[in-house]
Amino acid sequence: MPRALVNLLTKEIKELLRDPKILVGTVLMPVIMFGLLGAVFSTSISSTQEAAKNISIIVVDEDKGAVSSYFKSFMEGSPEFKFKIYYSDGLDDALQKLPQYNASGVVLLPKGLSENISKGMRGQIKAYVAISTLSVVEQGKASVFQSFLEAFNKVLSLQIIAGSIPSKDPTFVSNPILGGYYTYFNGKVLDFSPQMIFGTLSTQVMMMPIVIMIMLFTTMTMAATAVAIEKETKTLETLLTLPVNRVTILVGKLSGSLFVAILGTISYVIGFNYYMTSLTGGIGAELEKIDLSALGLSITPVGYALLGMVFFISIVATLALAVSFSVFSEDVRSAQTSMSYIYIVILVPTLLLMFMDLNTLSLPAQILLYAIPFTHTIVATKEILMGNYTTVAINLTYLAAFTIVVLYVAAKLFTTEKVFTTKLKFKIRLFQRER
Amino acid sequence: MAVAVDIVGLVKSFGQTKAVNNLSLRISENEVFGLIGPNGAGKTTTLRIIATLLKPTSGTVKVFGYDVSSEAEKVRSLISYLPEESGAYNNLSGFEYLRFMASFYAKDSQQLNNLAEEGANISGLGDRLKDKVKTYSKGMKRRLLVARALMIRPKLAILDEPTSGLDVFYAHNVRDIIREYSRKYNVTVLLSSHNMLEVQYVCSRVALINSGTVVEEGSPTGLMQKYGSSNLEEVFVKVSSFA
Repeated sequence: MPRALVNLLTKEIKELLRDPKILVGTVLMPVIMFGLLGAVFSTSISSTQEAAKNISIIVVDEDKGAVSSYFKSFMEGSPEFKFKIYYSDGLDDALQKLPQYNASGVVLLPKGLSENISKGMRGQIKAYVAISTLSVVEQGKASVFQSFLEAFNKVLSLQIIAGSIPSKDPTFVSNPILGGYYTYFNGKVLDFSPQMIFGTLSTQVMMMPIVIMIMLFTTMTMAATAVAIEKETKTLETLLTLPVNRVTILVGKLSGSLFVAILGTISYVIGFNYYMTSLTGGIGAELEKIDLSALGLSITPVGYALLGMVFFISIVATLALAVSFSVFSEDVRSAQTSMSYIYIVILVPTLLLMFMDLNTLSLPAQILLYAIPFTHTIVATKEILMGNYTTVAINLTYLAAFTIVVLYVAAKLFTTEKVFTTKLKFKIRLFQRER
Repeated sequence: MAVAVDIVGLVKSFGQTKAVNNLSLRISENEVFGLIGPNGAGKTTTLRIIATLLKPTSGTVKVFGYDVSSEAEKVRSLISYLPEESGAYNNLSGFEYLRFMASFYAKDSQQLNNLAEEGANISGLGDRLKDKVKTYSKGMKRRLLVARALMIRPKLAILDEPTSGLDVFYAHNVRDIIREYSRKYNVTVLLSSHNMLEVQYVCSRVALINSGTVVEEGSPTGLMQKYGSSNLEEVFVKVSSFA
């Protein structure tokens, strides 16, 4: 690497990383923010699980029959639900005693419950759940009542079936058909349900467009800031009179911004991954057991190389776009405002392609979307996974052509006096009155 | 004596406005040359063209024989430009800034250290050079920038209002440094200033610019004699009222 470029790159990185707004806002904030969110969620889940294990309940038995007796013994002996049980003679008395026993609710076994069941009629068990706060822990406690009643309902149902049809297995009668779900994909039958595959893909692959979007946003903001800061602090004129090729100065700026953007993205990925893990917990771990290579959905070495090219070209295009816009800005604020127009161009295809299939859109909408270069970034990452390398080659060609044009424009702008003589005002005129 | 700057029929237009209008000027090597003129006379535009930041609309500008338009990179290797409104990188220390700037001129690490040390001496900022530039006052920043412009001992130093924002003592010091550098290291200096006393003290020759063109040119003493004035300020007023 030429010495001048090394000097410029070092200066760029120092300037950007020593700026507290960039260091905290771009590099540290994602990992801190997602880390905190993840910690809050995992603490909340574990405390909810802990709280659900130690629930106090007041039981009011007005039925005093076989079913209510069975209910109470099921409640006392359940290994899954460990309740602290209190008894009361009436509902009003029980509700009044809720604070005294620190109980989470009252279960009322109404009069006639056992009689109804014995006659083949539905009986009702009433649960009065006490809510003192709107916390996740309280929600967890509330759901325990429902889960317990469902469990009791199932056990009681099997007992009734066993009594009514002694010759048959009650579990068979209650559930005679067992569903088997397979997926037909790429000409092969796979031993996984579509839900499992989608679940795996959503945790492992669907995150990719989000990461790309964040990376492009971060890169763009860095580049725009790096150029605009030179104008704002009046250092650009001096820089452009140094005995260095101006394209080298441009490359130094782009590389410095790219370096900081990569740090920001790594921080984002680490933080987001921790957050997702704390949310999905066991479910995610189970789904990850599916071998994507067996499904033909793993990325081959060629795929990785293509993915790298797609990332690199997209980032260079974004950097060049940011520089082209920011050279006309007077200060950092104005440069960042100008970036909001490009954000939209990245955001629209990313969000659309996360939730929709491009082929389902009308032809004009497809043409419009395909004209946006960043659509090809998202499409290419999906197609690489599916192994459709011909489509990826087309995406890459379009992206590369766009990047070359924008890079050429950026280099031209940077080497002409337009850097000093042209000023564009990026104002959102909505709600602004002309004075 | 060799010609350092040769300007012939220079015109620079911004849309309908002519900032520089048929300006011609010749500055010899090792001269300290001053451009004087009212606001909007075209001084800064002329300096920016010589510094290769702007391109002439017509006319030619050569620095040591190299054309500022077609041989801009060659010109940049010979000059050092100090804009009137200029800053340094806020998140670098003063010394880091000097080293960064020196790195584009030094051939090896020894020369880099020497240039940066020289810059540190010119700035007179002492231990404050270890602090970040964002903690500097306006005057301290200007001292750093003047040091940056002179430490590399360019063939041509283009200084736009070099003492702007400096206190009386340091402004005096900078004027001495400019004269000393020009004499000792054969640095040609082209400066613009509103401070007539400064120009009179530092420059061997001056050009008075009005409405984008040179209206008078000569040594400060010669001009004062020609117009029967005791200082350049009076000369300037008389020339401007005739123009």
